[in-house]
Amino acid sequence: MRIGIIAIAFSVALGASAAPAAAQNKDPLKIGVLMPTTGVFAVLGERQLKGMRFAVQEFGGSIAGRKIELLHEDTEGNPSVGLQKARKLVGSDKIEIATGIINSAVALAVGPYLSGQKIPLVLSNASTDTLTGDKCDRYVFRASYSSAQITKPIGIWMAKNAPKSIYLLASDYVAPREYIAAFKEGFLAGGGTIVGEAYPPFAKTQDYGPYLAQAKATNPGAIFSVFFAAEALTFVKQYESFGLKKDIPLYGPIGLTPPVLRAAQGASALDVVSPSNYVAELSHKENVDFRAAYMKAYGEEPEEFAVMGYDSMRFILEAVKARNGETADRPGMVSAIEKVSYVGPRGPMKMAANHQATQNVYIVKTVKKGDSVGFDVIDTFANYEDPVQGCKMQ
Amino acid sequence: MLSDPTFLIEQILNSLQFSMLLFLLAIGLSVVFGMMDYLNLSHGTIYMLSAYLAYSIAGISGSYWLALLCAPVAAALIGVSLYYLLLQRVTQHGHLAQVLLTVGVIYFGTEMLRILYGDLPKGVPVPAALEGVARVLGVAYPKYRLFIISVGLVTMGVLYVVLERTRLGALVRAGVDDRVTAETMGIDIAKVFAGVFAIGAYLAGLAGVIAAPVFGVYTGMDVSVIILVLIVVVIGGLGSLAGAIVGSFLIGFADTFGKILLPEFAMVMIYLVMALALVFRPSGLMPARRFMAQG
Repeated sequence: MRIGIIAIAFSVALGASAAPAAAQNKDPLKIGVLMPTTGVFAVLGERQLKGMRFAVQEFGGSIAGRKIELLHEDTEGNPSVGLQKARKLVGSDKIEIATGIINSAVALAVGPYLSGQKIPLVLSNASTDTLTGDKCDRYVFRASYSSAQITKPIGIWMAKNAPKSIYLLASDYVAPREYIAAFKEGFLAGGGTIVGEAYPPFAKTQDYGPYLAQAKATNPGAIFSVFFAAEALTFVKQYESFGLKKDIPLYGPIGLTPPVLRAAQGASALDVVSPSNYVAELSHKENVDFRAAYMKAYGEEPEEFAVMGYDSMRFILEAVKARNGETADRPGMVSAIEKVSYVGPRGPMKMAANHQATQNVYIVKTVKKGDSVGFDVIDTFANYEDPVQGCKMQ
Repeated sequence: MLSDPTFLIEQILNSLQFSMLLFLLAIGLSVVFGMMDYLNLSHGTIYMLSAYLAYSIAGISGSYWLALLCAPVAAALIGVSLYYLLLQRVTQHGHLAQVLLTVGVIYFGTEMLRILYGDLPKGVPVPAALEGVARVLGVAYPKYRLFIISVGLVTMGVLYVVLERTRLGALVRAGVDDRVTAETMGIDIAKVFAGVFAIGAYLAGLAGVIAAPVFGVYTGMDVSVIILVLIVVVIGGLGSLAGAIVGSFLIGFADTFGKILLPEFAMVMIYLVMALALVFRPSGLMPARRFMAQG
């Protein structure tokens, strides 16, 4: 009996929270942001949050009279924590839309839950292909990139413009393996050959010397590598110290020589060719203005991660704006996000049918700029649609 | 591929270079363990701390050599203070307490460095005099790596002379052999041990400074190397210079050649060497005598 009363009270409370859309209109627009701000991904999380806040500021802090509220929860980069925080955001904070997520494991845990709650989620970094491939979801979007969207084009490009025989060296875990698989697809289809490959154990390899000597012994025309953070620092410096670069040029995703490692890598970062969806040096007007405004707001240059945070928030805000602040109709919100299109700091942006943003992929090279290192854009894959297959929506 | 002499020479140099780094870290850990029966896992923290100090000193002064001179001394001072203020409190409480406490120090050190320096990895430039490559037996090899090998060999030589040929060395060996007897003979083991601990921390600090330009400076660099160092100590046998040398060479070579010959099993190679050593010589290949008797 008592249970019955509690159940009735509970359902009344639930009913009250699902008030008619019209009455909600002047309520704040609550956007949940799932972002690690502690743990190994904290550096990236902080940057993405800045980019997101910048987007809110650009919209003047409100849309159609609704104040924009970002409700941030720390996922710690941990799938079970992420899921628990997502439940809190939906259950007690009553968010209507969600964004964020740095690592794919968290995205794979949180995506299906939010989808079940009919909360659209716009991913800002997690890159595993399957999120817009066989596990694609009507409620899940990605404003950043899929692994394949970044490395398939460089494979195609290298088969045309770089030495035809390549040695592959990549850290041994899921993301680099995924990058390498997509690279091979593009490169082999273009007629390139792979003369050898090695995968040094992740976080257990101090010395890349043995791998580099082995790569050199196969006489490759170039080396394509995937390493990030501390591993990228060590790898690129050691590559330089063996004097390999003049005979065997180095290629790989921009994580090899990102702006954040510039001071640490120094001149060893020079002459590396990378695919990327953003570099600060892009010269179109939208980026120049964005850079200046961002610099004014934070006193620092935006980089890839801040920009992907910005774009994720912008997809959401553009969609809410297009619906004039009306967010209660969730399938309506989903189709509004599908229709968003604008030119931002990365160039033209829109959503493909599998909910991965279609964007420019730039081929950039690290060059000397003054007494520092910067990027030159040497080629562009314009409006490059996600090559990932296997998405059957709904 | 191994029949190609230049390839072989280059990989041998790589092995030597890595062995030297392991040796610098292993000798301190081994003698401290051998003498005081203290398992100090935070030895790696001293290595990491010294690398960060080298980054700061080289960054501010612009001189790598100043960092090479100062950072290991600072590391030794910090190591000794750490021991007397904190670590020695659990000397009598056995290995479990020592492991718990020193693992705590690892976490503490890592967090402190993250607060002070942030999460981004840091780089220390190779000093100008050691930039570029030199020819060794027809192989182009980075000068700086040759420098690491030389530092390791010189350290081995100095330690050999000190330990085997001086009175101080005799005191240390006596302490490792049988602490109680040495004490009854009137040797102030506590004093000898303080010196040993300081030198061990100094060498770990030295390893940190010379590793910084090649391996980078980041939180977690201690944990990634301390496991290998422990294996070196276990294989070589506790408390002996010869053991630390042999163990470092075995692991340095097993690691490098494992990566080339059996890339999918590189880590297995190291554990295989350790397993074989333990099966046939449970107290290590060249332990100090006390342990040999027990084995």
